[in-house]
Amino acid sequence: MRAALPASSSLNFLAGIFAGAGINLITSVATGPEAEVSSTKIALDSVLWVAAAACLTWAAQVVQRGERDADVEVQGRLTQEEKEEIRDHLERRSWRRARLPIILTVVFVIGSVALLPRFIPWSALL
Amino acid sequence: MPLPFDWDALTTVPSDEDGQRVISAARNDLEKAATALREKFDVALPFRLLSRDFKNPDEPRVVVLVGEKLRCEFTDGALQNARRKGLGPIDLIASAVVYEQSADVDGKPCVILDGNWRPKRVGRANGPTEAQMRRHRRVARLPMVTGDIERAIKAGKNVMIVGKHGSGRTALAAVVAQVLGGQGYGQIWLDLTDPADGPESVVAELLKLPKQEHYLLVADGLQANIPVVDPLLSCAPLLQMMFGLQILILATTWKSVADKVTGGDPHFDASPIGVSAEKLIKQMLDDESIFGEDRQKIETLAGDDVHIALSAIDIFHAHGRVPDVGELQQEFTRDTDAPAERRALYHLSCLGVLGLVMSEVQAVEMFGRPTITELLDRDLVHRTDEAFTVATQRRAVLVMNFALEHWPEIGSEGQPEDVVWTHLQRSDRLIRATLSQIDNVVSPETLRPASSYLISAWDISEQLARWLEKQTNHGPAWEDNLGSSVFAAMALARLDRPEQWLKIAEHVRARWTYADPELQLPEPVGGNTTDFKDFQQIGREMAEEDLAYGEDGHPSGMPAAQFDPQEAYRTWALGLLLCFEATAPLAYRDAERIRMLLDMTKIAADSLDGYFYPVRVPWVTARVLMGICHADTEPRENRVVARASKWLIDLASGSDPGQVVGRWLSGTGTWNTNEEATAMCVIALVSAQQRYRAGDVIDAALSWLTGRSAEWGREGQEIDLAQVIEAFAFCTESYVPGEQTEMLVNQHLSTLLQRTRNELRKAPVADRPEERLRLPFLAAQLTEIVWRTVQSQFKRLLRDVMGTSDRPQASSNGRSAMPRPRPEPDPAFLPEPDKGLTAGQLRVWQAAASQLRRTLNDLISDRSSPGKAGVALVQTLLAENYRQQRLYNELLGMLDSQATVETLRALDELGQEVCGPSWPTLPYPDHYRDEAPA
Repeated sequence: MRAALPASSSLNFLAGIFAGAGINLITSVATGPEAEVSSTKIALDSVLWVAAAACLTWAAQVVQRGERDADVEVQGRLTQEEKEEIRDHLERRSWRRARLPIILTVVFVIGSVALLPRFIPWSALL
Repeated sequence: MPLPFDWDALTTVPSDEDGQRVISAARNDLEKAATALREKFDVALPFRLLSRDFKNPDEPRVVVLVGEKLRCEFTDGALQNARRKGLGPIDLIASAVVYEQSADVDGKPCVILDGNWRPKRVGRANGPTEAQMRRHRRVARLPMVTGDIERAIKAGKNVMIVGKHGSGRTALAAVVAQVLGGQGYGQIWLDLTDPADGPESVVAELLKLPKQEHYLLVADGLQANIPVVDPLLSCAPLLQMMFGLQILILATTWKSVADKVTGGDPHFDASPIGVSAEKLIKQMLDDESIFGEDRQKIETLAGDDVHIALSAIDIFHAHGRVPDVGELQQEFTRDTDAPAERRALYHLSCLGVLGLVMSEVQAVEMFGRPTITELLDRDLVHRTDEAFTVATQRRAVLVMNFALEHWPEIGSEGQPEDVVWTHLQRSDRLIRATLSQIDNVVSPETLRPASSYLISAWDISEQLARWLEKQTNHGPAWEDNLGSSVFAAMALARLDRPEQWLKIAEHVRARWTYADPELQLPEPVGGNTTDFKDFQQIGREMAEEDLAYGEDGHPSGMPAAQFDPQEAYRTWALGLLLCFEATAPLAYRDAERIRMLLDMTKIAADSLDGYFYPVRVPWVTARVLMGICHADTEPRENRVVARASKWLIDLASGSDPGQVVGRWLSGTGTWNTNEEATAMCVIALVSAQQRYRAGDVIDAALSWLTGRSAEWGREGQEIDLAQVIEAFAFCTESYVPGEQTEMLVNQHLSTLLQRTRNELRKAPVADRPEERLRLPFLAAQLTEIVWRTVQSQFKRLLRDVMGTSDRPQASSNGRSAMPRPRPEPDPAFLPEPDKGLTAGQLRVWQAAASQLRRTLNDLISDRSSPGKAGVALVQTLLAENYRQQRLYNELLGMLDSQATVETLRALDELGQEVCGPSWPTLPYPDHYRDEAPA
């Protein structure tokens, strides 16, 4: 059975969300009725959102390359089972290669959510 | 109005005319071409004439400024050469732009073409015709893939469309190029099946194209001419850097070639986009609303070829039923009754099986214009650039098989491999291009060992060529070492690198003089070259050797004390210079120099015994003898050769009459081995055509060498190994034609290739004898051996590749192009009174065996790529394919008219297992040979 792995287009879509929605989020926070957040904090959080989006785009590129490799490899007189297994193998390989950008994405997303202005009152907690 | 792309005024100037008139006439023609282009539109790469250059009154030049950046100067010699070779004004300028550039006095880039420049035909960059485009649009039906390619190109990336024969690569490229053409991309279309297509063709097209922001260079069929890929790919960045032209490349090729070029040899940075015949055929059938049984039949018939599928669909619509293989063959050869047309179709289909084309000039010369026009009109052959072909490969196979089976008169044309070999022999460039792509046609496992050796040998000789080219560009003097220079030059001449050969020649010819009739030996100008140190060292080695011989002294009677290193060095140089001048590329061969050197050999030979100094070192005599044999067209008539050969023969004969020693002593202690000296002497005697006189001595020497293989085969003894292999290779041709010797040569050749490959990667060892000339020498030996092997084995390789090994051959040794036995008027299954397979039945079985072989080759090749190495199912099936292949080879050996029932059943079962529904129903004999009488 083939592993249900998301396609590269889904990753690209998610990267768009991070870049767009994340920045929207902080913009609304920063320009909201009680906007008293420092520019440095906003800039830092924006950088993290953009970094998360960039890493996810990187991961999408790696996965897309794997898909393209698979397209090239499955040509010729191969059985359907072979084609599926080759595709599966190459897609898994590309996901292995995409581990680093995905881990970085998760780290950046966690960081950016955690640092959202007025989301977690760090000064009260620390 | 047609543009003036041919010489006009220049053609009216006689070839022996004064240089000034040639310059004036050429200037007029170039001016006319430049003006015509300027008036037509703003040109991509414009050129204009500068004032005539009469700075050097002996050599006036036409000066052209290309793209306001590059100054190109042409002497009358270059202009005459261009006219003789059929290069027009535009081709001439294009050749100059891609030629090696220097800097003028102001430091600006400049190219000078003079009488030494050797013009090469410039292939035309013509895109597909309107009729071809109509067909391409019918084939390219995957808008997603087309869109991907377009997006990648618009993003500034090079793209490589990857797919098998008949997968619709070209159609896709053509459709994309047309779409982008409508969006402001200038188009340059190279069909690389024409060996003359290269960087010059690209520049020639840019000189005629209107100016655009971007240009798309379509390189169709990279696999057809891999040697041109490197210069072609480096041309785009060069044009961008020099003239600011933005050129993107859209290439099409096979997967194996794509892996090779994206892997780095030569490197091509492009996004590969796969195209699958299967998907395209499905899409075609969906679009044509063909479903059910008919759809299955068409899919089976088409295999992996979209063009066959398209033809099958057309026939289906015309007749309302799916054609079978026979009907398809009829369709591809329809109404071809005239003998000339059949001949043309057979020739072109044989070439088409290997993806080769026949130039228009050759086709017209062979078959006549009306025949070719008729075949073109009936769409039985296709035009690509200025050539004709039967494409695709699958269609060519169908046509070729049909012709072999149904047209008795083509028997006199020879076997398919004879047709291809005769065609390839017209040009070394074509042989090189074909050899370079052949390992991509089939997987190495399917070739006989000799053919595999040939391919890997060719591959490494190409690597050597690149290494030699690099080294020569870096330092054409080869550290002032005559041996290195000469061996490198000999290899470069053989590997078709005349420009690099000339660079070395300029140095060597300036460094040595032999024009003075008073001179007994060539004289180095400005002191000895670095080789002289080797001869001083040889003197010291001789002294040590003398100590080992004790009071008796060296058997030659010449003690080390009497050795004159200077004379030995100059005598050796005489031999080398002869080899050098006599193997020069034709354009640079200087008959006067060769004559002077040959005259010198008459003076230098010992007046009494005929050897060349020193008497103690037979390999110096052997070297001079080889040089004379290269230079003299009739060495058997040459008295110097006869006397020197006799001296060598006597040296290897025993003191008693009839006794043969069969080896030569090096006479130089540990500097050279006896094996090396013996191999050199054997080569010299064989070159001197002393078969009659030296037969016994050579046989004995070869036996001795065979027994000494542990010595010359040792690691570090590569020079010995190369010499011995060449000796055996020479003798295989001339004396001992036998498979055993051939296998011996091939095995050791593969060891030598492996070691040479390693040598290229590591640093030289300082204290090894002959270290300086080690690699150039190995290069010269290897290229010579490989070239000889190509000559003798290429036809067999072609037979392997074309799958015609299974057919009965015209003659036992495969060399003769004798007519095949005429087929019966009606060969199909005529009952014969005898038992076993009838002639007709056997032919059907053999055709089926060919199909099985090709399918197995395809399967193995499809499953062998590195990307599939980790896929368990693919590996299991690959192992199964290898098993099937071994079984096939076993069964093939038993497939004849007397084949047993078990053999036939086993082959039939194997065919069904491998080929599935496309396996034909085969005719079994009524009675078998091994059947007991009823």
